[in-house]
Amino acid sequence: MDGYSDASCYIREESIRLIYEGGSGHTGGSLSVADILSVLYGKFDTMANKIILSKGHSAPALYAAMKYYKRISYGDEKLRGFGSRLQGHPSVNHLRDVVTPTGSLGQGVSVAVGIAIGMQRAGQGKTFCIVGDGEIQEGIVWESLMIAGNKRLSPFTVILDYNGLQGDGFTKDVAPLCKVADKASAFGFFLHEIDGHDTSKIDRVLSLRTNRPQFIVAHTTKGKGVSWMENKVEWHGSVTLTKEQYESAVKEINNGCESSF
Amino acid sequence: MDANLVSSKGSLRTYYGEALSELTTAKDFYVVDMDVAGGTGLSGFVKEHGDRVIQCGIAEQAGMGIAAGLSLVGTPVIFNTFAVFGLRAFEIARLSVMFADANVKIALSHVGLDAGEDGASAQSLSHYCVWRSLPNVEVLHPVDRKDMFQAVEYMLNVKHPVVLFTGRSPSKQVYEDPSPPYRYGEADFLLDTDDPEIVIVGAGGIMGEAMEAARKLQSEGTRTCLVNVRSIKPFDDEITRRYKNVYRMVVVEDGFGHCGLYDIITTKLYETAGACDVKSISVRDTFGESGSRDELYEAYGLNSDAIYNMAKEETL
Repeated sequence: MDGYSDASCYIREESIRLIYEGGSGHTGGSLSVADILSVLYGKFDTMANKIILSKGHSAPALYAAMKYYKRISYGDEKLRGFGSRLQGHPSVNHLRDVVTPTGSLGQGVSVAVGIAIGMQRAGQGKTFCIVGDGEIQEGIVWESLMIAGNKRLSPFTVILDYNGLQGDGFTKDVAPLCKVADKASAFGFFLHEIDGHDTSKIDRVLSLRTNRPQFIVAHTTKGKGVSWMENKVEWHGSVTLTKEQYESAVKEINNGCESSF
Repeated sequence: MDANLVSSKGSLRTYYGEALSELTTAKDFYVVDMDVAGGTGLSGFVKEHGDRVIQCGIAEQAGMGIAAGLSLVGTPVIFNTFAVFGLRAFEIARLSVMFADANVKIALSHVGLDAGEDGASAQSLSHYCVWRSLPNVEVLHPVDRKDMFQAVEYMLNVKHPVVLFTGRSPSKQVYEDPSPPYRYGEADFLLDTDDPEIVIVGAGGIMGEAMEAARKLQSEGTRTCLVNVRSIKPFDDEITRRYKNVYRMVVVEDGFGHCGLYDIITTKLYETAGACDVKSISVRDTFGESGSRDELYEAYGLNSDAIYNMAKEETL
């Protein structure tokens, strides 16, 4: 086991807790992105480098990752609560470590390109942007990738949390992405395809240096860690968890974590 | 014809480009362009300062996000396109610029029927309506070359979001004397007189027409004031405070009045129990068409004759 297991477990459990205590939140995508965030926040100092969660509805996982890695601390502030810094989608006006407000899909990628252009000119820092598979149906994503590819923007990494589900169903039924890896490659990106839950692979691919922008297709399972949530569209959108569901989810996550030690 | 109001060869877009070129020594900034540098007055700027231009190709939504992201690294960024195409990026501006308080200046050209021959697809008429609807933004519209230079310098000094409108057709000079520096939320009371009968209030290049009308009224002995609004948002309440009880106010804009300057002013007068008669020189909830600026201004009732006639119209 590598050094990220503890973080991954925490992120999953804390995401579920935030959603349960807050009364609502996006479960499936928070669980699918947990390992990606676990590595990113563990590996990179976020003063010098920038991490943008463009699929902003997975905010619970972002807040949990930031908390684990001590970028923020919060007591009993409620997710999505009135007056809470843990806004429904990440807000720059509430948390200093949030780079740009997300929640309107696709925008985070364009902002990340802008940041990377500035950092490239200044000769400092890396920029990472996490996108969802439904999200990349937005045209702005491909506009941004085309511009990044044209400019051979580096260091710049886009990570696709490819969990196969979106709001109205499976991505393959709503609007298939077809050969997404080929598409990214054709746009000038150095392409990797990995298991998005294998933190050692995520770490390895994020350690590579390239002189081109990097696109990582991370195959994930929506709802990963909670068997009755996995691959189910009803666990995409904002849901309210019952006490029983909460306890069952946390128990499964903990069991999964223990068995991997 | 009044020599002071002869049309220059240049237009507001030309002067915007000149102002940027002039400011490069003093100020750090980038321009994010979407393949319209030539059409927005920036050909000269691109030639001399190409290293400051981030060319995105025809991709306004991405361009707006890129401008926001680039500004986060520490330099003001100008997002540059036609006003109508800027609408494609409105939602991105809403979240990534205004909500995020990014140091982005949104420079929009081809405003109004002044955009001319390209026709309806290029003529922005909703510009005041749409951009003033958002919080955390200054919306500025200079009237001529001198005013444009002041506006551009001002917008690069402030750190919050600004929308700046320019124009395509040759503009008429409004300021003989130097135009004063821009100040937050302040209009310029260009022509002011005691106990005015007619007050003409407006913004942008169309104020060249308004100045002609004002001069004509004055020459006939009508006590006439002229206000250069400059800042659509925040709107200078002094305008309605000072003139709320004049006989007639003529509100002049090259765009929709129903959600633009006419809407702003009538609301303010209502809130302050103003008693004046307010007339609108504006585009009346219809799209434009091809034509020269002067032909269109005549057909749609936006030229100095129309403003003059509106000022003199008998009340029922």
